[in-house]
Amino acid sequence: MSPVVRPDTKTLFHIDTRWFEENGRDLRAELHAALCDDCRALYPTPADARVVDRVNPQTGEIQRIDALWECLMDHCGHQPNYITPATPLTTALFRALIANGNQPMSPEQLHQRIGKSTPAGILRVLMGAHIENGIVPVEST
Amino acid sequence: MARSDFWNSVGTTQADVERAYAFLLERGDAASSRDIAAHIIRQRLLEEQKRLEELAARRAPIYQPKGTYEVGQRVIFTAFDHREGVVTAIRASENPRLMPFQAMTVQLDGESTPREFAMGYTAPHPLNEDREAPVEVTLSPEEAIAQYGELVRTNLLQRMNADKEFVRLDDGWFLRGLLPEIHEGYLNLAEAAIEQSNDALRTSDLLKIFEFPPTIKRTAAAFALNVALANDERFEDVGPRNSPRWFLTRLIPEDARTRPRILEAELARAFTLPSELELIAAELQDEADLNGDANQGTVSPRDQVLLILTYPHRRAGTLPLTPAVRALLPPFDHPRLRFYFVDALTQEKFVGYAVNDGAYIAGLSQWFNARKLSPGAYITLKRASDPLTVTIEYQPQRERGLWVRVARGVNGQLTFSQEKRPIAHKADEEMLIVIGDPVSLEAAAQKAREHTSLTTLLEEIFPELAKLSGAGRVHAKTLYSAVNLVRRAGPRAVLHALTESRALSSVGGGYFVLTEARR
Repeated sequence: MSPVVRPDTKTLFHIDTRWFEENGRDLRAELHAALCDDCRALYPTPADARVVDRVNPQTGEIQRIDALWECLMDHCGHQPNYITPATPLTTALFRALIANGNQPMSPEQLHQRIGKSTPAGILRVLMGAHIENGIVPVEST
Repeated sequence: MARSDFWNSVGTTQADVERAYAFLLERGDAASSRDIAAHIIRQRLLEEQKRLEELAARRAPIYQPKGTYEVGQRVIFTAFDHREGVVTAIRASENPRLMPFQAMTVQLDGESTPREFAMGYTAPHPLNEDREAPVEVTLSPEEAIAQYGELVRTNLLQRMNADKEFVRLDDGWFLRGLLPEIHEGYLNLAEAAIEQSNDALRTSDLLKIFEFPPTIKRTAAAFALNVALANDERFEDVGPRNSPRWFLTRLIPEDARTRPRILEAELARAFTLPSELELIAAELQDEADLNGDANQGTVSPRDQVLLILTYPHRRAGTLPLTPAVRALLPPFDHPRLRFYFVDALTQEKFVGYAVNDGAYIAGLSQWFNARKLSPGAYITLKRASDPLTVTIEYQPQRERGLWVRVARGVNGQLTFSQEKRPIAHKADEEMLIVIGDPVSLEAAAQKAREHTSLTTLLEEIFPELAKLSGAGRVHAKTLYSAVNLVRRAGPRAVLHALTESRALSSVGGGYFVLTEARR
C-alpha cells in the first residue's frame, strides 16, 4: 500500500479533464466562456476553434493545439481583467490553471498568480468535500 | 546565454561539483572554497571560450524565429543545446490570432522525429532579441574572480555542503576518500602530549609526534588530524583563524567555558545620547553595550587600550573584549582564543582566554588580587611582538591612605561612605569605589535585581552618593560604577536611564543633581 501523503501548500494541483465528462460538464464551453472579447470575436462558438499553431515562448518550436487553449495561454490569460478581485475564488483558480496550460500549480503558486485568499485558504478550498472545477492533486506516479 | 545567467549558473551544476572534486583530487591536499571557486571560474572561462570559438567556426546560422531559412539549410538551435538541424519542409502558419508566419520542419541531429519551428515570426520572442555579446569571456580570469568569485563560492558551498564526498573544516575542503586515517591511538597520543606540555599545540607540533608513513602528504595529514580533533570532544581549537592550536577541553578554566553570572547583562538597546554623554560612553569601554558581539563595529587598530576596571569584571577576574581590545589579538572564529598576558612590570606570563560568547577575557583573578585593584583602577593592554601575547599593566603608586568612596550593603540597600583606605594604584577618581563588605553587597545586589527600572535604581542610589559631595553633584561615571556594584548594566544603558529620570538633571560636565522637587 502506498503511503498516504497529506496535501500541503506545496502540493501540485491540476484540472482533471475527465472529471468534466464524468460530471456532465463541457470543458471546451467553459474554456470558451473565459475568452476575452477579441478572441471570442475570432471564435464565436467553441466549435469554431480548431487546432492551431502555437509558438513555444522559449524555444520557438511549434506545437499544434486547441485554439481555445492557445488563446487562453498566450493572450487572454495575460489580460488585466482575466482575473480580478471580483472573480470568485474557485473561478480564479480554474482560470489560473488554464492560463498555465494546465501545468500543475501549488496553492502557493496559485495564490501568487491570483492574489486572493492565502495558500492555506486555497488548500482548504481545493481539499474541501466537493471537487471544484475538476481541480485535483496531481497523482504521483 | 546572458552574462548574468552564465555567472549565476557557475558553481551550481553537478559538472562544477565534479570539477571541484577533480581539483582536490589532483592537488591531493585541502583547499579553501575561495581557491576552489577560482579554479572553477578559470575552467569555465576556458570552456566557454572554446565553446564560443567552436560556435563561431560553424557556418550554420543561429536560429531566430524572425529569420527565414531554406529547405536543405542547416541551422543551429541554441535552445536545444546548440544542436544543428536541417530544414526539410516549409509551410504556411495556421493561427488566425497571429500575424501570418511560416512553419519549417527541421530534422535535428541525433533525433528520429522531426520538429517544427516558427520562421518569419516577428512577434516579440526572447530568441528574436539581438544576442548579448559573450562578454564573459572578454574578462580575464582575475577580473572574473574579482567580480564573480563570491557568487560562485556561495553557489559552490551549497553544493559541496550537501555532498558527502567532501569534508569541511572551517573553510578548508578535502575529499573524504583521500583523508589519511587518524585512529584512536593518535588521538590518545595527542591528548597525552597536550596534557604534558600544558599548552595549546599546533597541528604541526602534534604531527611530529606521530609516525605517519612518508608517502602521506604532511598537509593532507594535518587536515585529517584537524578534522579528527575537531570531532573529538576532548579537544578544542583555541587558536587564531586558520591556525589551529589544540588544547584539552577539560583543562580550560570554568570561567572561560561559561560566562560568569556577574557579567550577564540585560539586552542593550540602541540609544541616542546627548553629545556630552556620548563621549563618556565611548570612554567607558564595556562589553555589556555589545550584546555579546565583540565583532560589532570596526575600530582602527591601536597598539594599546586603556580600560577602567568595573566591579563585575573585578569580581569575575575578567576584562571586556570590546572591538578595540579584540583588535589587539589575532582574529579568531572559534569560541575561545588562548593567549598569554605578560605583566609589563614583572614580566610574569600567564594564560588568558578571549571568549566570543559574552565578549570577555578570562584569566585575571589572581593578577587583580595580587595587586589589590579596586573598581576604577586603570589597566592598559598593549600589543606585543608575538601576536598571541598581550602586555598588561596597571598604574602602581606608593600605598597611602586616601579618602575614597566605600560601598556596603545595609539591610539590602546599597550605601556609601567616605573613608580613608590604603590604595596602591592609580584610578579614575570618578569611578573609584572600594568594596567595604562583599557579602552585604551581594544581598543588596539580590534586592537590586527586583527593580524593574534602571532609572528607579539610579534614583535610589543617587542620594547616597550625593551626600558625599558638598555640592550634591554626582558624575555619570560614578553612577555607572556604582550601579554595576549591584546590577550589570552597560554605560549606554546607564546614561540613557539618567536622561530618562525626572528626579535627576544634568548640570554639565557629566554631573547630575537632584531636581528641585526631589531635594
